[in-house]
Amino acid sequence: MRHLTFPVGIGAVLFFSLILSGCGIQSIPTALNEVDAAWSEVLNQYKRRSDLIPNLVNIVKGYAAHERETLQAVVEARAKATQTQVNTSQLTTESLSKFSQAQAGLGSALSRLMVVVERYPDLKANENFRDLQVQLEGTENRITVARFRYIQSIKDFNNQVTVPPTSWYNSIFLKHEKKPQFSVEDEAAVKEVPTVEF
Amino acid sequence: MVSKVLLLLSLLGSLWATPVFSLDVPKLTGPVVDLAGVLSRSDQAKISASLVQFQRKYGPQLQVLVVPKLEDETIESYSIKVVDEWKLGAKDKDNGVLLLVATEDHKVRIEVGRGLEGDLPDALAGRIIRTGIIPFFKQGQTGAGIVVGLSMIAESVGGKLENIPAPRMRRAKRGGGNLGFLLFLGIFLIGPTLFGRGRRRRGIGTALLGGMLLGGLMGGGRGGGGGGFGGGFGGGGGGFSGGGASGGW
Repeated sequence: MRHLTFPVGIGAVLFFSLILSGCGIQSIPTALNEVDAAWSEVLNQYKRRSDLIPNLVNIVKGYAAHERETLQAVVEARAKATQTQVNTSQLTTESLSKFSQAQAGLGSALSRLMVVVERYPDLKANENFRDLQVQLEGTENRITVARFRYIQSIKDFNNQVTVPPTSWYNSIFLKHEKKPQFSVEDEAAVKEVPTVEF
Repeated sequence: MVSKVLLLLSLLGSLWATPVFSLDVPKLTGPVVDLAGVLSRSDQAKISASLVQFQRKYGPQLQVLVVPKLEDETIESYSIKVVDEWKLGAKDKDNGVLLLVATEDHKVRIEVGRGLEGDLPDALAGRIIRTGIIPFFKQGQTGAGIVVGLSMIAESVGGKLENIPAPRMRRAKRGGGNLGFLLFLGIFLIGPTLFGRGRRRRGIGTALLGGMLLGGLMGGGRGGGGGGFGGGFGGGGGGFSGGGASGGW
C-alpha cells in the first residue's frame, strides 16, 4: 500500500499549504512588517529634514539677519516636530495626526523661509546655500515618497485584516485592528501657500 | 451571437484602455529611451553602447529617458513612478541612476538609487544639473547636455564613460566661440593631465573631456549598430527612495 499513501501525503501537504497560504497566516505578519518598515522610512526622512535645518538657519542668518521672526519660527517648529515622535506600536489616529501636524508646521515654516530668501540675491547666489536648498528639496521629495509608500503599506495591511478570507484568520487568531491612514486635513496644512509680498 | 459577445468585449476593452491623465511609464527598451526625438540615431546608439559598457565595467546602471511633456504631474512624481517600474540597478546594490528630461516643460531630474545616495548626494546631483546640464539645455543643445550630465554622473559614481559622442557645439560666432572652446579644452584637459590623477573624484570635467576626445577621434565611424537591446534589457531590481535633484531652464 506504500505506493498509494505517498501521493495521498503529497496531496495533503499541497492542500494544506494552499489553504494556509490563502488564509493570512503568512501574509498578515508580512504586511505588518511592511508597515513597520515603511513607517521607519517616514520617520527617517523627517529626521533627515530636521537635521538639515541648523545649517540652513545658520547660513540664512548670515545674509538675512533681520528675518529674525521667520528664522525663529523655523527653529521653534523644528523643536516641536522633534518632540513629537511616534512608534509603530503606538500608531493611533490621534498620535498620527499630532505627528503629522507638527511636521506640517515645520514644513510650512520652512516654505515661508524659502519665500523670504527670494529677497536676498547674494544669499541665493551662495553655492553652499544652493546646495542646502537642493538637499532640502531632495528631502521633501523623499518624505513624499516615504509617505506614499507608507500609505500603500497601510492600505495593504488594512485589506489583509478586513477583506476575507485573510480577515477570518485575523479575527480568530491575530486580532489586529485596522491601522490609521494619513488624513487629508494635514495635507491641507502642508499645501498652505505662504503669502508673497512684492 | 459570437459577434455580439466580441463587440461587447471590445467595448469593455476600450473602456479599460481609456487614457488616464497622467503620463504612462514607457517600455524600457534600452539605456536610452528618447520619446522626444532629441538625439540622433547614431548618438543614441553610441550613448547606449557606452552605458552598457559602463555597467559591465563599474556596476551602476545609468539610464536616460527623454519625454516631450509631463502631463499634469511634477517631474519628481513621474520620475519615481518610472524607476519603481524599471527597477534600475542591481537588487542587492540599488545602484541605478535615471536622467530624466522633459523637453517642452524645460525640466530635468537626476533620480539616484538608494545605494548611490552616498556617492551622488542631492547637492552634487544639483550641481551637475546647474553647472553641467542646464547651460547646454539653455542653448538648445539637448543632446550635449545629456552627454555632459551622464559623464558627470558616471564620474561621481566612480567610473568613466567611454566612447561617448562629443557634445556638438553649435557654432554661433566664428573665432570667439572657437577660442572659448579651446580655452575650455585647455583648462580641463591639460590641467588634469599635468596634475596627475590625484584623488578618486577629480574635477568633474575630466570624464567629460576624455569622452569628448574619444568621441572626436571616433567621429569618423558613424552610424550602424542601433537597437540590439530588444530581448534582455531591463532593470535588475534596484530600489529608489526619491533621492536626487531636479532643475529647470
